[in-house]
Amino acid sequence: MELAEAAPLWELRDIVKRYPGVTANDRVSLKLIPGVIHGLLGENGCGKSTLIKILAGVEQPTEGEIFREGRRIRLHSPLEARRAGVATVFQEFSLVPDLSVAENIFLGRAYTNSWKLLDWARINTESLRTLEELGLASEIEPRATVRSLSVAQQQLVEIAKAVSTNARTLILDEPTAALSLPEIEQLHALLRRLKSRGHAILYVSHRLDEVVSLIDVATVLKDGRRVSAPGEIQIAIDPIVTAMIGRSLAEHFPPGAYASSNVIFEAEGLITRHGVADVSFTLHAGEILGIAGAMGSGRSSLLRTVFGLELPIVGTMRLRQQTYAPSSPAAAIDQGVAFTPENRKSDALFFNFGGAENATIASLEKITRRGLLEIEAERTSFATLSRDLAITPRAARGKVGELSGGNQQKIVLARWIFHGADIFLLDEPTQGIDIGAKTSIYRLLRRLTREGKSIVLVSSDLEELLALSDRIAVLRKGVITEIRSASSFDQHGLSVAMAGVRIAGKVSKTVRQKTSNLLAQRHE
Amino acid sequence: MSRFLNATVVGPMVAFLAVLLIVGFTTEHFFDTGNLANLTLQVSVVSLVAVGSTIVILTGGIDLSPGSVIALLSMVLALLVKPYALPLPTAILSVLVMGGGLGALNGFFSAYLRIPSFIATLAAFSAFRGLAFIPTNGTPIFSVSASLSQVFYGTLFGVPLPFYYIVIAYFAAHVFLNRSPVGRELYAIGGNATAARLSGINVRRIQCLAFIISGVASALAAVLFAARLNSGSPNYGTGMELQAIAASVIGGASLAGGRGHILGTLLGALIITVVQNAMNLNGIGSSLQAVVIGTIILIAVGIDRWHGELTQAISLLMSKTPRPR
Repeated sequence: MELAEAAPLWELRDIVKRYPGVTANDRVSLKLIPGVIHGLLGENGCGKSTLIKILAGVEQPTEGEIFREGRRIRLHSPLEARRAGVATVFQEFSLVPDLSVAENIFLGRAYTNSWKLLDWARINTESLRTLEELGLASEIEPRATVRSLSVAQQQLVEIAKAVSTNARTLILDEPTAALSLPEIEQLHALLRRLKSRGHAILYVSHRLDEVVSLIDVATVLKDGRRVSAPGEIQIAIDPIVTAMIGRSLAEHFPPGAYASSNVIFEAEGLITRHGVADVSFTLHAGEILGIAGAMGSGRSSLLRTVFGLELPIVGTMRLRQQTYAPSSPAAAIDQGVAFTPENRKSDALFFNFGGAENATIASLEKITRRGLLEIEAERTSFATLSRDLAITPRAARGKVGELSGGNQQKIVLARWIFHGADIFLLDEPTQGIDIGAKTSIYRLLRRLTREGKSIVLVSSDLEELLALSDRIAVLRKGVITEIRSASSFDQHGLSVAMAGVRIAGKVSKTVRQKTSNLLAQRHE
Repeated sequence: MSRFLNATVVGPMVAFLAVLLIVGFTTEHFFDTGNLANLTLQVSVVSLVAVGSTIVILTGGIDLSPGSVIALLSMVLALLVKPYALPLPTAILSVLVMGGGLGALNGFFSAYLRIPSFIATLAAFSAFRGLAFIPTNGTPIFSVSASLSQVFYGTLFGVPLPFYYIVIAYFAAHVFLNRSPVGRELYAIGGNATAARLSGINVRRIQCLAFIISGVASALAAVLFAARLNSGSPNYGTGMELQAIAASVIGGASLAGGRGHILGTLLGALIITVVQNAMNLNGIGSSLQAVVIGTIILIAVGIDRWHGELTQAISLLMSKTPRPR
């Protein structure tokens, strides 16, 4: 593809964005060309979000210029950006759940009849036309309420809404965070169709494995700066990762296996109200047991049951050879079981507290003398934890809202390490955090197992799951279909096992191709 | 003591000093000993109620019942002392226990039966005052006992007793909120109830406890109210819950929960009372006073809300003179 010759629809030139105390973008340049999918890659905190906010009119650049078809333009507001043909699909959807698909697509610009009332017939037929053009009509019904759709379908509606405004430029911010593999394939197919129709697409992601087969051009950001060559076309994973984190993949996952033969926990025949259909497994001291399952496979319900948040309808659990039936999280915690929820912002962190208060909240008795909290003891305990887990010193001063996702997650883990938990139930512990913090969390998990602690790890990042787990249990529709050593799986096999036989043919083809590409590139 | 909590008291402190400054310049006799003693008496009831209101607000709830609790318990106290001839200390103790019981009722409905606290205590607001009318068909009970008056008008070392009640109540609340594990958990619940539960905190029990404390605080206020007028009446305490909430909010507490400081609440109560007192001294009528208090509430909460914009505006004004870093 001769990218250099095509005229760019948008050009960002030497964009600088400074916030008090931090430079989020430092002279970043980027071109968006019709019919090209441009990948904007980099870890969280690298400045991706800032850059797309500038193009979406949400933020103003401190320095630098924006050109649209060669003419300089200023985007003062999201509305101006939309008028200039930029449609953005952010991670948080802007759909109204209780309205229909058609109403959402035409929200704010609905057709009216001569009485100034909504022209339902026209709204519905126009929506259907839009969905047909995008090849979504077979799956999404214009009259369905958005609430009734799956997350993936909602995302497709969001894109349909964007496209129906005749936006020629589409920005997608981490669009696959909540999607399963087949759903990702469907999304990518849609993006390819839009590309062939001449849309310019900016695809923001930190999951490289996913985007290699999709994007044409990549811009990689690290610490607010562009680290890739301009207009880079060839995409190879390893150099990008190296560029992103400053060290190569091989060093990413620390080695080590500390699983002993002591069974610390066992579950037998668990059935819950929220999706666990039949689950039996054992967990050994020092082991990392990976749970591979798509969203809705019952993986969250399983962790919640072990943590006392849900009561099993049927089945038994044993902890250290004793019957274990926690009636509340407090009961589970008392017996040394810890849980870090998937959504740390809404379910784990106290934003009215600093780092120390967040870390000690589950173990206040440890810093209490004669009925009173010892603030000094709390400070020193947290200082030790911070040093140990490489938490930023800022955590001791400000509130946790000012910290990066990686530091926040480390503070949540510090809470349970301070408590002295033996069993860690971790739901997506590295989701949305930067790769440097990921590496240090991997090291931490290894260290915990070396100390004889056990970990149940739920992760959608299969590479991470394969590299960290001693054994992997495949969870599908609430049933553990197999459980064996992680080394006996490969990523392709695991994806197929997770998705099940029904769509295995469809998935395996694309996945196999992608995986082999990936491996080929990695071994180059 | 953690600095992150104390930072929130700075704003109300500055506001209070500003109010004192303005009042000092505009109002003759404000700093007279007699007026200051009077001020202490005036602030005592609302500041005691506000201890409870703040603790409930910190958990993310709200308590609308204190005014009605004051009415009901002032009646109960008058009945216990006069027709039932209970010794005064026993009667006061019974009233405090009943205050805890009424608070437990609020806590039970809101924390355990999951009725939003606004609604549960709105029901109590109506029901408790209704109950207060029943024993005497709404007739106040006057001249309860001379020793009851002393509870309010007595002095120790020349200082009115209510001054000591305020100091003790706020010191206890301060230690409880900032130094006890339960106080910390209370802030945690207000900050993020889900995270609190997942951290092993018994959220409902502590929410319930907050209402019990609020009930006891209102009962104390009821005793003072009854002592001040040496009587019990179902009409006492009207609007007291709102004044107490206003004191919390002016003192920096966030109605979303988790943020606020008990000493800020005391400053909030003082600001309201000083402004009212000064307007009384200047002969400003109560209608206009209500308008002024309303304006203060708006400004206090507004300053909190517009914090970001205000600092931005100030730094913009200051930007011409570069700050050394």
